[in-house]
Amino acid sequence: MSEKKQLITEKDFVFVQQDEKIHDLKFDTKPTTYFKDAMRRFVKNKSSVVAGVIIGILILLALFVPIFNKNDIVTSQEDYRFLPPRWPGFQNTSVLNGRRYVENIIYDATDEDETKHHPVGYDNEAIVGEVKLTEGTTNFASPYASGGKVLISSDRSSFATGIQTNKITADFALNDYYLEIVTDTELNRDNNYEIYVLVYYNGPNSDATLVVLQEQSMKYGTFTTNLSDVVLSSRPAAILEDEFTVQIGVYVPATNSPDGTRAQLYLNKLAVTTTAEENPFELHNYTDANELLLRRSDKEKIPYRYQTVISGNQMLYEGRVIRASFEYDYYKAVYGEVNRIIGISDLLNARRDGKVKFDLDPAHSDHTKPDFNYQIVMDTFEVVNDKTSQYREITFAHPRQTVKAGMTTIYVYNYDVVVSRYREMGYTREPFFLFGTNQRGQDFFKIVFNGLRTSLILGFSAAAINIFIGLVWGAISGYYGGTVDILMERFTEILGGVPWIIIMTLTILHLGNNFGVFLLALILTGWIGTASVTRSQFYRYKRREYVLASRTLGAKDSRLIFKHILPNSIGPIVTGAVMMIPGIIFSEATISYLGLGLQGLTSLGVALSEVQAYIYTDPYLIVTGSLIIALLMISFNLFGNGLRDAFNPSLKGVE
Amino acid sequence: MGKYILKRVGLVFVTAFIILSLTFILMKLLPMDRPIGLAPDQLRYYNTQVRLGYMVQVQGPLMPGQTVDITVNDGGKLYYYNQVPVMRQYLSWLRNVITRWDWGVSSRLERNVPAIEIIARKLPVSMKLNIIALFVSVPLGFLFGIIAALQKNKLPDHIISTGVMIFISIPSFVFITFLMLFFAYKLEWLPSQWPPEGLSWQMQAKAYVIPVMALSFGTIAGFTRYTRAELTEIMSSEFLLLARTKGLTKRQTVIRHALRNSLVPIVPMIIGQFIGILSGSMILEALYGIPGIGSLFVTAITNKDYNVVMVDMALYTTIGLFAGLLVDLSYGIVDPRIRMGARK
Repeated sequence: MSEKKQLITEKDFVFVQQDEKIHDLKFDTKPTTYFKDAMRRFVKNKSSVVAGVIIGILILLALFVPIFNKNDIVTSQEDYRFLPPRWPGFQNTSVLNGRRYVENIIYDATDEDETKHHPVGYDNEAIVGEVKLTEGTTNFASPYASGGKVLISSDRSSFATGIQTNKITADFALNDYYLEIVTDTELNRDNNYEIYVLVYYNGPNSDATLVVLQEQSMKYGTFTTNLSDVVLSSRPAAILEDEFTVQIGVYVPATNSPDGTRAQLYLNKLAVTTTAEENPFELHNYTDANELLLRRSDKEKIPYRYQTVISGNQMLYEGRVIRASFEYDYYKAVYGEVNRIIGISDLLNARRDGKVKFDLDPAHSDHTKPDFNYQIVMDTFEVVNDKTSQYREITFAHPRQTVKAGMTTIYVYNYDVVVSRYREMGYTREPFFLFGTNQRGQDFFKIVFNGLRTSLILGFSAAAINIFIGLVWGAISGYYGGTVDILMERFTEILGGVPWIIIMTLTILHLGNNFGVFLLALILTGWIGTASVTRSQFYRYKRREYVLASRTLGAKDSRLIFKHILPNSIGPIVTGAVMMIPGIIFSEATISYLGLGLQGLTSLGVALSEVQAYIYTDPYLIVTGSLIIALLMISFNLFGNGLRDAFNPSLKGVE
Repeated sequence: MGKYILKRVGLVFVTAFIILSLTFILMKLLPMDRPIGLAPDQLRYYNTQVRLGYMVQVQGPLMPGQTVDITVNDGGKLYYYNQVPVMRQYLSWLRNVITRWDWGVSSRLERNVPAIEIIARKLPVSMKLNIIALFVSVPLGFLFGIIAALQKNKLPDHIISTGVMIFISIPSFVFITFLMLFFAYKLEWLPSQWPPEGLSWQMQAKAYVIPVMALSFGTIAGFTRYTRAELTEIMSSEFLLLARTKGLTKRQTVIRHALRNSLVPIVPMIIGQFIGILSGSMILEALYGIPGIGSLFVTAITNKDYNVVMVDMALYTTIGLFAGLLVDLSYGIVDPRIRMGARK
């Protein structure tokens, strides 16, 4: 084993005590106990010691994080949701800095002022570095998109589809109206379609005559016609007037194909143009598929709701958008400075608390006068306590408002104030959330370790009770043997036959999901393992000579059990106890994933199963939680293995 | 030995009977779940319950002070039902199950569909998944175990042993989280959810990768540890020394003597692991959206469809019990040195 090969000389082969009598000598070495011996062996096992240290650190964190971390993990704070992890000292690194690279966010470039262009839903102030803009397309209707095509498609292959404008009334003799319809030449394929106009000769609600402008064909591209000519020339002879109500439509017949291809058409443009100043078709024109879709969904703009799909669906196809990719500082976005309207009383309170300093206009601040009021002299505003004052600067004083409350008149003074939000939340700087925040805007670091505390308390107490019951049960069963043993064995066999998940589910369904019930559910079958280990240990040791010797000296059963047999069998039992804790934490986590987790108290399992849903959007939550539980499990198992090897060296490396 | 097997089989049946009875009674003691859906559906459900002997219909109109458990209003006509006492329900249940194999109908998940039918539909997916996981993990575990044992206390052994320690400790739901994050969301090689039916077989096959990996990591580690332990013990045994002294090379001794002997306890181990995989897959199925009995258990519990929960529990219990029995018996069959039923 050892690499150091010693040179063995003749001298080493001399017997240490050849002629001395040593049987009545006292040992020079100190006597060692079973535990001390095991301890010595354990310390040699480095990985187990490391595991023990990690467990110690985790336990300390679980104990102290919930005490010293003052972040609120009870109430929900929507604004602070999903902040990525931010660690002190990592501000200038690429990880754990509270920033995330956000990709392909639709960019709002609709404002004429270029400085106001921003990614939708993001704040320009908190963007770090350059915004990379790319041209892109979207198939979703968006107010920030332009262009695109409308895809009209039927629901089934046996359905026809099409698009049709609302009814529009115009004088066709007064002006020339030109119709232009553009169908996409690249995307359209194998679908016959027809362009038609419906003309209502006797008012908008009468029957209409169908005038086909383009016969069923697969001729894609631009179609233009003089709409006035068509309408006027196709009117019946009896009708002399020039003003008609018309509807323009495109119709795609059903395919009825056995392979399920559906009627569909990509339409780029449908517009009627005229030289007249007021074009009644103008609201009904569309050259922008996106506009069409948006306005249909927008109730405010009812006059624009001009399109009717004959059957089937319409969707935007390839609307053009600008997409932005950039690094975003989430903390700055929610904890930075913001302009807000603040009432005078809040400012006065801040002045009373010594946070800020300002003078009131003396001309109006005389209490004795009937129309006294508070008006700040803006130049005198000054931040006194830089650390706690959330009000940084007054930018604008709103004019006085008067509110009549019964007989009295109240003057209201509001100010635009720059508010520092992290100071407002009681932090002295932008906070560090080591594991980020969860879906309720709570510090996930605290949640995890708070949960770990619950899980560990559950684990340790359940393990303690399980060991106690298992010891007593196994000792009785193993020591006495015979009928008692057989009966007790049958009982444990039946109980052990029920999968633990079923026992736990049934218990929790019956008694609710609080801590006590969880403890009970874990105990119901948890002790069986210890009991069987204890029983077999008792079987092994009860027939030993030293037990017999003690019995012949008149020792009682209890003395034999507790003084002679149990201490010898304690090794595997201690190991079993340590190994039981990760098992309990695992069971608890599994039950939480079933949706029956602890209520009121957050456990590690509850914390994990809650953030499982955000695995795609905010993976740091589930990753940190999972890493902690994995670390815990590995450490406990390593520690337990080390203990087992220490207590029973002959088993080393067996499992 | 035959007597011993008979005794064990009988005992397992008795155990299963006791457990299932207790489960049924406990489930029936839970607050009654009303089925969801329209009144005709509910009526059908209650009439089935009456037919199976779990409820009785009370003829209306109700007397003053008379209470009923359930009132169903179908188009203005009221129907009243009462639950019969639990023990009588239990007797009816026994009769139904034994004589007609009727385990009741689903109340909420798939209204009025026999629960056993739902289970039968979901079972193949779970079984397929578990068997694939087993077929993946047995050879791999065996391979790693052999490598570790033959290279004992050298670098490969240290790497494998460390890996075993890590993989055996981490729960499978943590594995699937990381696998999903890496292979499905980051690399986008594999689907992040179980695909719906009717997709191409490539898609279907791809969907197995993540859950099978998550399920088999722990099992591979288990097999590795077991094989390594078994083989190391045999490698230091005397008959192997004898084989070497009579002139066999190390390779020959390993293949002819050591491996064969170390295989013996692996067989029961495989059966034992199968139960482990089956119960471990419950959460995985729910997380990955696999339509198996595990995710059925989860949805049935969240929807309070207790009839389905009951049948699912019964299935898990019986599989567990019979697998345990098989493990015990196979030890004796595979390894003749173990005398079954022998007194200690």
